[in-house]
Amino acid sequence: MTKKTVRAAHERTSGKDTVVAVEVERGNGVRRAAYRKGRPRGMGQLSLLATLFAGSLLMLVPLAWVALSSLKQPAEILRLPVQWLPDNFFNFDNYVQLFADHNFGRYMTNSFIVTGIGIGTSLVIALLAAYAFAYHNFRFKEPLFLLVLSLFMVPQEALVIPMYLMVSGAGLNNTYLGLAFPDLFTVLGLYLLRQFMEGIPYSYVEAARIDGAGEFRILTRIITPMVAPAIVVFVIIKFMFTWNTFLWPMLVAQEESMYTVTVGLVNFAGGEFNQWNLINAATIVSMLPLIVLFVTLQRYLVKGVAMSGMK
Amino acid sequence: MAQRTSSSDNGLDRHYQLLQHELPRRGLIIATLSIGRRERKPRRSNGRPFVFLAPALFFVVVLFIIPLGYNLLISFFDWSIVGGRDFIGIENYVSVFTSERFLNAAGNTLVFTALVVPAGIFFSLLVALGFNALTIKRGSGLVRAFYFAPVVASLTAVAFVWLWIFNPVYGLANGVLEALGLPGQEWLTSESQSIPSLAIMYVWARLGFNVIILLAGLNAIDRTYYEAARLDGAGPLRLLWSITLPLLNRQLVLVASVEVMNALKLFELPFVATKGGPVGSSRSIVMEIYELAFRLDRWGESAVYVMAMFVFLVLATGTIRKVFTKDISE
Repeated sequence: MTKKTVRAAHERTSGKDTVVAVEVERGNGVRRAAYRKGRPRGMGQLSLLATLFAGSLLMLVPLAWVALSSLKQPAEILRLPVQWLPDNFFNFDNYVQLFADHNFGRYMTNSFIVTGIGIGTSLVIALLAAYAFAYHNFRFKEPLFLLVLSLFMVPQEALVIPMYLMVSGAGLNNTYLGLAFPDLFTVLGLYLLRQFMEGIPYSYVEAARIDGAGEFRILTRIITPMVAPAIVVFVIIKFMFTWNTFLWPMLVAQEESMYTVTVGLVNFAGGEFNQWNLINAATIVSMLPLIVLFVTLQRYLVKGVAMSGMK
Repeated sequence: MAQRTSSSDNGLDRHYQLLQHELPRRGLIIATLSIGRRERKPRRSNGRPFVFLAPALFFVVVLFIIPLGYNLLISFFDWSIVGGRDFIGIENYVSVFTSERFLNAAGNTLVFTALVVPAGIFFSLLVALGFNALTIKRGSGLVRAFYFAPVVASLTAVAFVWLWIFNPVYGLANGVLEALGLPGQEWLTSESQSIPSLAIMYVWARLGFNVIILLAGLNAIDRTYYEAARLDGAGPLRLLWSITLPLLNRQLVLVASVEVMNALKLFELPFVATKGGPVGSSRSIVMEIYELAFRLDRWGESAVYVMAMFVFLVLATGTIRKVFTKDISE
């Protein structure tokens, strides 16, 4: 449909100016369509796609190899020369073993709880602060925002020493709160939500204020639903980052029952050395929620990465 | 065009524009409603915003300011959990910076960074340019998804994935090499190959991330620039060098600094895949931070490693921004 519009514009004027005007009106899709028009879809395009496809298979091979290996029997996996496919594609013994004989169910639960705490608190805190930054004026607002943004640069790994002393001093080792501690607040959330709120016209807030709505009510009833897309993106990205953390939970979870899935994976592999069928299955298990997320909500995930850039 | 040049210089407004694109697509008519309203300034504060800000400020202090100060403090002490805590001035700094252990870990980390940052940028730029030039829509989404897939894996999982692939006997890497008639390699089990092997793992894991950022930048480049240049007789290489790369400068600098930041905090990959070996050839700075504090109870020295890491970080990202950022607003 868009293409037709552009072609029509082209034919009418056959000049660049009109096309530019259409671009401004319709945004990216049309801009690309207009660019495309003059270029034939020849062999060049097909070989480009083929090259990209070949490269993407190269990217996929390591994951596929681990997934296939996780379906093999212990003897099968050590067969030489290296064999690609498992004898039986429906051999889920390794996975069953992880949950039946080992504690992976518990690790998964722990990871979900810790991730949930991190997402919940950081989202609420970010919403509140973003609202203040977007709809209020106060002294040192922009310098303060810049200061907070600059904390983007501080890697968590660089703070584990003092943070561990603080958390263990407060007696929070082996607790969910302790595990989620560094994730209770994320600069990224504040940044994303503020940017998004700036795009919402101030008149909404103004009208609500005139109608006598309290600030908190405006935030929860008017603003929050409107920034839902940003919230979705943030929750997904935050889920990915928190789920994948390793160093911090390894320090704080000293009891096996409190291990998150990354810590459980490393610990398990250390104990089961050379049981590669099990280690491969455990690797896949540790990635499972993210694989599901990737397959179902990839659009948001990609958007979040493009927007976060950092981290 | 005008939009781009008038944007603020904090390097982050690209994301803002993406967000604005998302709004109309979600069925919100905000964009149209906002015309003419954006000039209105929020009313002066009456003190209430601080109620909203308080939780965030609390955590900024607790999660960043206090730990930063605390770390600096620890670095001047002979600090141990079992023993005592004695103020020893800069003694930790002297002993750390002259130690073989530090020089080895810093060297390994810097070599790793020097390998993965250029390689990561090169490959992700290649892939992003490929997708940008691709006009076939069908199937390209799936292909792009394949590139992105490793991004969701934790570095812990990545380490296990490649530990198995690099297994000298049963691994896929040597299987492929032998099938091609080439000699198998020792990969992670060799002193000279451990860091390059880790670099391969890392570039693979991060590629999709960088491709997305670069692709977003490429998509935002106005096509009319190319039309104009082509009319002037510019060839494809000339277009790449004179239009694409300069207009992609912001994203390239962003990717470079994020990559440096992430590479300098290398931990999971060697911790899982090599345990720092063989013979310490892949010990990284963060690994030493962990070892010194949590295994050897030498917290003061560990804190000095943290300070060193900060210095590297600030120097590296600062240099990248200074040297490579080109202002192209015309």
